[in-house]
Amino acid sequence: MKLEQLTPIPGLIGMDGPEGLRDYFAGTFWTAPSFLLNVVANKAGQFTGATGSSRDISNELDYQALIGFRKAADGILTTAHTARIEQYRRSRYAPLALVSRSGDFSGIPAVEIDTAGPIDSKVYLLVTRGQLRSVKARYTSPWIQVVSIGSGSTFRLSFALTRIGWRKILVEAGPTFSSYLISRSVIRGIALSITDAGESSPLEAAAAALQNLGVVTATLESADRVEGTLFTRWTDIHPQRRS
Amino acid sequence: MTNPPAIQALIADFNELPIKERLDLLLEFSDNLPKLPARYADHPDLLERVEECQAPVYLFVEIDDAKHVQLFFSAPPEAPTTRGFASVLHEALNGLPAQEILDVDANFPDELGLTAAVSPLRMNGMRAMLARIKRQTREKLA
Repeated sequence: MKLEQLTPIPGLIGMDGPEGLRDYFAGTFWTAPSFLLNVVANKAGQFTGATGSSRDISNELDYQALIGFRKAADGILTTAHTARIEQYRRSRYAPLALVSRSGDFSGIPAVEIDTAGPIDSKVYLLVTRGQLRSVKARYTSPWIQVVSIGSGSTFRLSFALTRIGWRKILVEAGPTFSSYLISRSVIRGIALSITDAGESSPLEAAAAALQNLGVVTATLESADRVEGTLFTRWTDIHPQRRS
Repeated sequence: MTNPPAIQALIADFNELPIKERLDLLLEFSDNLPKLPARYADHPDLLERVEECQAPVYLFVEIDDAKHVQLFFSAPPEAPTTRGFASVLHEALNGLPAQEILDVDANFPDELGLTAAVSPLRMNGMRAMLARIKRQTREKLA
C-alpha cells in the first residue's frame, strides 16, 4: 500500500499495512492539543448515504485513519444521537463522552451493554444541570460517569472535558453537532476524508463538505491520497458568523 | 431589570462552580474568543480601544438590518482574564436585538461571582467594555 502526499510536499510513502496507516495519521494529523473533528464525506459533500449512517460512505481506509486518531486522542466526543445511530461500543483506544440535552442515552451499546467493549473504558455522560440528578439515578454501571455541563454551552462542555483531563479531543459527531461546534469556534482542526475522490483535485473534493459544515475559510495543511481515498487536514477554521 | 436568558445561563454556569474553578472557566472563555474577520483584522484602526483595560483591548459593534448586534473583539492572549471577559460578553450579547443590549443590567459582570478572585480594576475593565458596547449600540441606532 502506498500513500501519495499531494501537499505540502508531494511524494510517495510506502505503508506497512493498516497499522502503518494508523500510525501515520496518529502521528501527523494531530500536532496540538485541541478539538479535532473527524469527518467522512463523498465528493458531493454529503456525510451520510441511503440509510442515514456515515457507514454508507465510509470505507476500510478511512476507518484505519479513525483508529489512528483514536489512538492519539485523550477521548472521543460525540452525541447520544450519533452514538445510537452508529451503535457505538466502548473503545479500547480512548474513553467516550456522549452529550445529550434530553438526558436520553437509551439504545447505545456503550452505555447499556456490559460486553460492548472493555469494561474499564469509561463512558462520560455529559448533561445539563437540570438533567444531572435523573441521569445519575438512571445510569449506574461502573463504566459510566455522569458529568454536568451546566447550561449546555460549548464553554461548559469544553470546560468539563478539560476537568476530566482531556486535551486532545476527537469529535466524531454528525453534521448538525459538528456545524454547531464549528460555528462556536470550538473546532481547531478538521480531518476530512473523501472516500470516493478518485483522482480529483483535493480542494474541489473537500470544498463542498466544508461549506456544508458552515466553514467559510480554512487553511489546507495537508492532503494525502491512498487508493482513491483522499485525506485532508484543515486548520485556522473560520465559521460563518452566528447571529 | 431582567437579563436575557443567555446572560442568566452564564451567571448560573459561573456561580455553580467553586471560586477557583470559576477562574478556570474564564480561561476557557479566553481560549475561545472568536477571531476577528479579515475586514477588522486588517484594519484594527476601525475598532475602539477600551482605555479602562490595562491590556490593549479593542471592540466594535455592528447592527444589521434586523437591528441585531454583532460584536467584534481583539484582546491579546497574554491577558487571559481580560480576553476571557471579552469572550464572556461576546457569548452573552452577540446576536441579541439592539434594544436588549441597551436593557442589559450594567452590573451583570458583578453577578458572575468573580469579584472574590479578580481585582476590582479588572472587573472595572469588563464593565467598561459593556458600557462601550451599549454606547456604540445607542449611537448606531440613532
